[in-house]
Amino acid sequence: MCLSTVYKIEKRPENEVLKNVMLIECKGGVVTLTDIMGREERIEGEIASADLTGGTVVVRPKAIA
Amino acid sequence: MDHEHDHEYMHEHGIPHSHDEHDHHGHDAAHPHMGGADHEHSHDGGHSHVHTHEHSHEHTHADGTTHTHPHEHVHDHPHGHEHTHEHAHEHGHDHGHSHGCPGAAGCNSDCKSCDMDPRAEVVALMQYMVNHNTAHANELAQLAGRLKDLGDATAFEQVMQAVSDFEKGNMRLSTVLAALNVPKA
Repeated sequence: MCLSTVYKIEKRPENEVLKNVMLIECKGGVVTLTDIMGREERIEGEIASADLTGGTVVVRPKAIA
Repeated sequence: MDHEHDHEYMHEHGIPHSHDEHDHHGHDAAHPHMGGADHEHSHDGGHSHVHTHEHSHEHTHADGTTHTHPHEHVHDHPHGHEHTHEHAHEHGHDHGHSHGCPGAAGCNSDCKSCDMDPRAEVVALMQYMVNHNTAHANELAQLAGRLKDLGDATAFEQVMQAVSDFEKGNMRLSTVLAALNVPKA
């Protein structure tokens, strides 16, 4: 319902990927984030957790070979 | 649930609002570039006329993060596009941010090369919040209706009064937003 801030690995300021995220799409092992201004971030990986009341989403990137 | 009670109550306050579905994300703001990742833009060339173009860049970091940045450039130059875009991605994707630019998550720009219009983003967020508040007011009214259905008329009245106050505050925000949307001369 509310805009979210997305982090990689864990919720830490230095791990912030994108804030004011209004859309998250997961397809083919890629998590695509879109913020309110239309900016996109794509991360190979999966959603680890989504705190919908706290507006926090954590993405677990795919391990790099 | 009997929504008719909610609607009648809310309309007593004369605050215009819709009970239709609300578009939480509707906004007309442009989508200018914010320079989310660490890349630089240098713009060279003689300048003699204003030129606007939009494009986007997609690039992938070593850690698997892929960005797409919509750009909107306004240039004042005589011909062609003589600017270059240098994208340096040798970092560990540091999203540190300390220069106070609103909503600039993931921005490592030094601001000089950033074409982002911070005002547009503030307006977009304001629009989102006003729509969001309207949706919440409606949800609260529905909760009030449930309290009434449960036989707690006092709580119903109190919650609906709170909804009314909430909507009045949101109307103030709407007024500010309307003023912000007026193009400056």
